[in-house]
Amino acid sequence: MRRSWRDRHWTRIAVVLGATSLLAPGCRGDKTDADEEDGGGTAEDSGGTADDADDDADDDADDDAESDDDADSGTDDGEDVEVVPAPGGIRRLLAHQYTASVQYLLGLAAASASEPPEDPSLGGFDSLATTESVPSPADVENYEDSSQAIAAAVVAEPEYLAQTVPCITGAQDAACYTTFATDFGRLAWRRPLTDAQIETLVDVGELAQEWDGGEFMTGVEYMLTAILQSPNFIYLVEVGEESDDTGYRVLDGYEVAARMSYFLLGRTTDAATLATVESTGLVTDDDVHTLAWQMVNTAAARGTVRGFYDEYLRIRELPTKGKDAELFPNFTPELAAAMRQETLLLIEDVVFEKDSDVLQLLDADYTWVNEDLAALYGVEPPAPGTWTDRSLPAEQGRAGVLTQAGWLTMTAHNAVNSPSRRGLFISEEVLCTPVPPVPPEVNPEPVIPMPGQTLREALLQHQEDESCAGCHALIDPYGFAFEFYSPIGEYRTLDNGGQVDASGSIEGLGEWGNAAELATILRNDPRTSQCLVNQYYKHGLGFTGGIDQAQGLFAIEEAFASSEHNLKTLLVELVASPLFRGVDAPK
Amino acid sequence: MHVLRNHKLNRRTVLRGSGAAAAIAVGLPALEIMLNPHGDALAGGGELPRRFVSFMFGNGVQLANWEPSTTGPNWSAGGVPSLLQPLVDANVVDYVNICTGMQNRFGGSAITHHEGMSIFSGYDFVLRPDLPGFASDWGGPTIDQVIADAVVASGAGLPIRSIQCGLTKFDSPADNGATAKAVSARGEPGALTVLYPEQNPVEVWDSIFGEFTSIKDDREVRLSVLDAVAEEAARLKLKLGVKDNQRVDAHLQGISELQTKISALPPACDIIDSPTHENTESNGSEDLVLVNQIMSELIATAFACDVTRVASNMVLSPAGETVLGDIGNSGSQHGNSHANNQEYHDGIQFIIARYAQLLAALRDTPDGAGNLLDSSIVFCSSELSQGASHSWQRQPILIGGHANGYLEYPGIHYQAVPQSNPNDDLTSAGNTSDILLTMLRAFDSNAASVGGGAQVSSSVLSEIMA
Repeated sequence: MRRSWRDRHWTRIAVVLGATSLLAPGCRGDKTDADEEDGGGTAEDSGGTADDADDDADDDADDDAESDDDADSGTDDGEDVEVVPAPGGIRRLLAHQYTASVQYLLGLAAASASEPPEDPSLGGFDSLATTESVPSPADVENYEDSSQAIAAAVVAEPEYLAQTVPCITGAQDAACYTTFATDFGRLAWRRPLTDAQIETLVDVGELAQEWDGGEFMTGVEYMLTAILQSPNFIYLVEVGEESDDTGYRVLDGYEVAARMSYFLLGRTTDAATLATVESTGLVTDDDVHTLAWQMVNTAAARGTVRGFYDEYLRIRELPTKGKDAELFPNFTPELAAAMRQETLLLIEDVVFEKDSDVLQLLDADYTWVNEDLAALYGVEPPAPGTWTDRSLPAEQGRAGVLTQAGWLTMTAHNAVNSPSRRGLFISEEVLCTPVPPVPPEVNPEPVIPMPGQTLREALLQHQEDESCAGCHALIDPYGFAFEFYSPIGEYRTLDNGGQVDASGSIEGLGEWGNAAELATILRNDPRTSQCLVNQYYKHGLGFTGGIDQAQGLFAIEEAFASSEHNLKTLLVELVASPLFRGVDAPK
Repeated sequence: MHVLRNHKLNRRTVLRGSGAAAAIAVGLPALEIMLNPHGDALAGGGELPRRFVSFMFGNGVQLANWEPSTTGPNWSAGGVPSLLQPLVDANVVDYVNICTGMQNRFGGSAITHHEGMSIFSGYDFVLRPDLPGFASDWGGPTIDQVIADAVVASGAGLPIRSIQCGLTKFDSPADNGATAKAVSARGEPGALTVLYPEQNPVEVWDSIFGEFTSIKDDREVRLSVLDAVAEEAARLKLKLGVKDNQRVDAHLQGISELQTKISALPPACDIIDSPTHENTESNGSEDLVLVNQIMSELIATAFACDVTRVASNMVLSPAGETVLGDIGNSGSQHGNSHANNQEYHDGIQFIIARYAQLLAALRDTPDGAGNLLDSSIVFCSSELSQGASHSWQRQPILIGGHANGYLEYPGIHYQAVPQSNPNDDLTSAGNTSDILLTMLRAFDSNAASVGGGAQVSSSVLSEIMA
């Protein structure tokens, strides 16, 4: 099913607006101050469908976005689109980015010694905190500790560093401190250092050498701690330069290279990319496209794609997810780890091995299993200690990652399912259709089914309370589709003695009989494609796009859809977009 | 119960050859030789230092099992509510003042579990509609950090400004923003640094004592490295806007405080060995009794060594989803709060037992002629009164410690207004921020007010003062 351009246009506007909560009224009739400020409507206005959301989006979109015709020509015809990139400024490296950078710069032993501060979490993607989190004194101390541990590891085995700065194990003379600051500093700080910066680092080296009775490597060790504690390493500095041509600040080649490297490879700019910047400037569309395609075809890119889905689907939290031990004695740490691995293997298979439509992740009819998972799904097990792909049993109604044990486990309570949590995820994270917040005056008493009553029956009974139905009618139907699966994803036909019913419908979306049918509907809904673009943008830049970014996000989605939803194309087009290569005024 | 072993450090090791470095001597501990012959004041006549801890737990209480029926002194004579029984069992009940029926004057739009957190700051939160779920940030500094400011301003010159502990790792997946994740925030409204809790006892030990156990005295070089880093940060500021400049300023402040810590002489006290338990277990399997005991002993030792005088412990975050497996619960404390069931009751009782555990650790640590609980204030509350109804009126408030004669001892039950029935939890009066100012005045007698907006207070709650 493919909607008309007009439908798709407004649907996508709704998705973008939804991501910024501009459609976020309460389930209740009254509006909060924040709702007023944001121009939110009423619950009745927002509904849960794209069509309803279209109406809400209308006013804002008329003011801020292109008209239909303009938007049409601005995206379909390939003309320039009007965009306002995210504000410029500094973004703090995530812990895994810090460590991956250390590994590239200084080797595996150094990376093993690395222990940066934990990532603060504001909710949603970790990257959202990178643009605003304020380092605490504990963080600063942690950065020092980590730099010291890394430097000690490097000095113990300096051969890796010597590949970048040969004099470290060669001449070891006074000039080598300058060489080290110049060459390694450029790599670590992702751009050439000024003379003043080099001088400051050399002073540190000479002081340390003197303090340690003339030991050359001690100077290197402390210079390294200074380089790794520097804000030039810890933060991505993205301020760009003003441009009359674009109307927004344009990132220079070094900034673009660093942004691309962290987004696509999860680590700092490498030597070859720095050389590219210094030879070409990395300013033309062709240069950026060429480099981006090189990057997405590397092994490191697999890691960042895995990392995105690990976070997006919440499965990275499986190792500490608890389940009722009496009800689920088979939920062992090994099984939890296998659930996570299963999803990541499917993602790698679809995106990299088959290089096919990434929306298949929603309705793939196969998965990857080891012995433990094969037992859980009731399919033929592979040889001990190995993984293999297996067709999902058709009678179980499974399809895609949302019916895999990992996501099902993460979106259930420890003893019972949570159709509401599962439905909320689909609405807000798959379709980018926000669900209004719970009114504070509501007492959400837990729903406890009567003997023989299914959880679904009990929840529907609960919805006879209108104050509950307003929100739950928007999300629970999605969640009921997964009632054939237990809180750890086992197949079942009975729930509390009652027959499971996984059918459902949402106005404007469709009807389904089980999770597999819902998965197909979700895959074909135009919101899904735009929502994935938005999620990647948010994840990559730590910024929740809004109406100002809408045209740019639409253009990326057009290219993505035209590629039959090839994820690599999405990544490359996002990188090549003005949203990625520019910034608004520093915040 | 002591789970951590005292480790008598060799002072020649600990001092790291102090003559070799240009150290700035700060933070000399309150040794016995610095006290008067009675051990109840400094030899020079000054008051003994006071200490402060914020103890926060999520999901509220059952008011019917919380509020004593008798007010004033000897309130326990009228019967001890079941949720307060752990205070009796740990023999710390005399140290606790109980406040009930008080009004939290939060004036913003409520989002279930966030508004009541303002009891720890006296400021309305800042809504974060851009974040998923229920989301807000702190609107102003929390009381522990305002008190930390006062300690710094008093010239105490301690190596560490404050420490932040946590207990369980499992928070609410639906609640986001700093209000939902931390109970300590420093700075000014609009420019706050959030101090997140650390649930790993090994990390907490390292942040308190790690600096003083190094065998290598490289302070001179480290200070120069940090100078170089600060120089770079200052250069960076020229390129940035207002918000990012605030972030870099906070980074620079962190560098300055680290330099102070590096320069400090090590404490002349028995430092406990690093714990080995890292609190990595999954939900329902955490050993929270052990972790809390370690955290309590770490706080007590930090206070006894006068490394810091301020701490916070966020044992369970707002709407926290922890399954209290220690007592055999199968549902999360948040889920149980809405069921208002026996597991919920037992969970609250378990948490108050952890509060009593902290008080006991302080009581069992000598301080001058008395103990640390004699000189401390341990403020305990939750973001809700009755968890089942999301109410933030009549929030539970316990104030442990004697604060060197500043607070009532034995503790009293102060009730601003009685309940008309056990479930009428909206009846409230007064201003919970008055308690914040009362506690702040113990550290800064000239403090004029606490909080902002509708919650601001400029008057103390004299009833709980000695």
